[in-house]
Amino acid sequence: MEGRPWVRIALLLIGFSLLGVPVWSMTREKRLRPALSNVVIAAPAQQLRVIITFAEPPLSFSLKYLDEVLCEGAAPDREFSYNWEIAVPPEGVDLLLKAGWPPSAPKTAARVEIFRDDTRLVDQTFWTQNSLVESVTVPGTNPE
Amino acid sequence: MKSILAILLTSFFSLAAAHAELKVASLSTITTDIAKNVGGDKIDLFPLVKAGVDPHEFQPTPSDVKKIADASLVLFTGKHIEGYLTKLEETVGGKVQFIDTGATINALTMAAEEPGHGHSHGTEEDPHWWHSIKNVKKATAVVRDAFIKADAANKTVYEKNAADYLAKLDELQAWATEKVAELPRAKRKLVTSHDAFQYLAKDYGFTVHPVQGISTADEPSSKKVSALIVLIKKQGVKAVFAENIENPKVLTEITKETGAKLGGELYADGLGDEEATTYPDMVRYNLTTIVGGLK
Repeated sequence: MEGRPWVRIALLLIGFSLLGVPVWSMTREKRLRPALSNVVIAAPAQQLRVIITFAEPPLSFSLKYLDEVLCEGAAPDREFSYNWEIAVPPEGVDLLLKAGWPPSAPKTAARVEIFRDDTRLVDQTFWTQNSLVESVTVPGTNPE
Repeated sequence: MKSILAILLTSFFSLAAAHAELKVASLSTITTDIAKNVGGDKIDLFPLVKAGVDPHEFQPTPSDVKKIADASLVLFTGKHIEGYLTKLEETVGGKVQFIDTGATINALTMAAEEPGHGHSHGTEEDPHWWHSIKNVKKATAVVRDAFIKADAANKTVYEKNAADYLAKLDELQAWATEKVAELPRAKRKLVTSHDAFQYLAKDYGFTVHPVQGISTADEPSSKKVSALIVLIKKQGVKAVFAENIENPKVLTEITKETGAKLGGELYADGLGDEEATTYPDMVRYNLTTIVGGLK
């Protein structure tokens, strides 16, 4: 054994190799595969165009998504448009529209259209007397 | 002298007529609330199903039958929730008019539960139509028209009362729309004790996952409970909801298995004694509880 240094070198290398495996295992960058149930695939953001046409311009007006006020305040003209960038999940998203007219105002209407590129996703007309509180759903998939 | 006597008699009879109240019996807390609002002090109301009583299980007592026999109108919600109705109608005879307040409402149907639980199978109508405010507006019109038909002398009162109540329901609907809009559609997954919230789900984009079927008497199978546990975990449902008149034993087990919290008690089958003594209060309480629990 003493006369065979290459054997000693080989044993030393084997020893280091064996020790290296657990050290590498403990220190490597961990890439854990998430459980399938927790995978959340984020929907890509879409550029939507919201167009609201009022028969009579309201006194007050707001557009809201969850806790976020997209626009509110002064009465818009008969036609109002808003560019909305939003990630729409498969379940869709709800846009809350509120508008108010004077108490003496006659019955009026508001038409809500929502487009993605040239595709009209939503076309709804609401009839009301003094106030309007309506939820408009943008579908999660493009209706063919 | 004769003319004075005639005037006195006419005044007496017209006063008597003005105080003659329309006797109305009600077989649901929902119709009781509508009747109170539309009838006001022009009706004498007998609410037979009290707050907190399960209408699926209610059976009229002999004294209830007597009150019904004395009434001119009996209001019920229909769609087969009052299983005793045919026998009751036979018992009290044709003098009393039964008003189906749900008659003008399109019923949602759903698959019936497993056999052996004492109700029909295949599909059945969901009787819990009051969880849609639009439906309660329709029922209010039915009650108003029935009162006017039975007591035309007070037509203007019933019309005004009904218009006031419908305006309140419009306000309630606006409030409800705004409240539900606080909750992302992806989170609108409603796990409840029994299948009573389909109408609410349809109006506000919820998916309902009930432990029991349409009736509170239905027993949940272990297979169904297991499937619910998988669903709650998979979809990350944050809360499940018990009911004011139900024992939440199974739901409590589900929360232990899934980590979802018990979001509170909902009023499914009618009004309650505390937070939900009127229909608008019930809607406000239920939606606040649901949205708060799932947010």
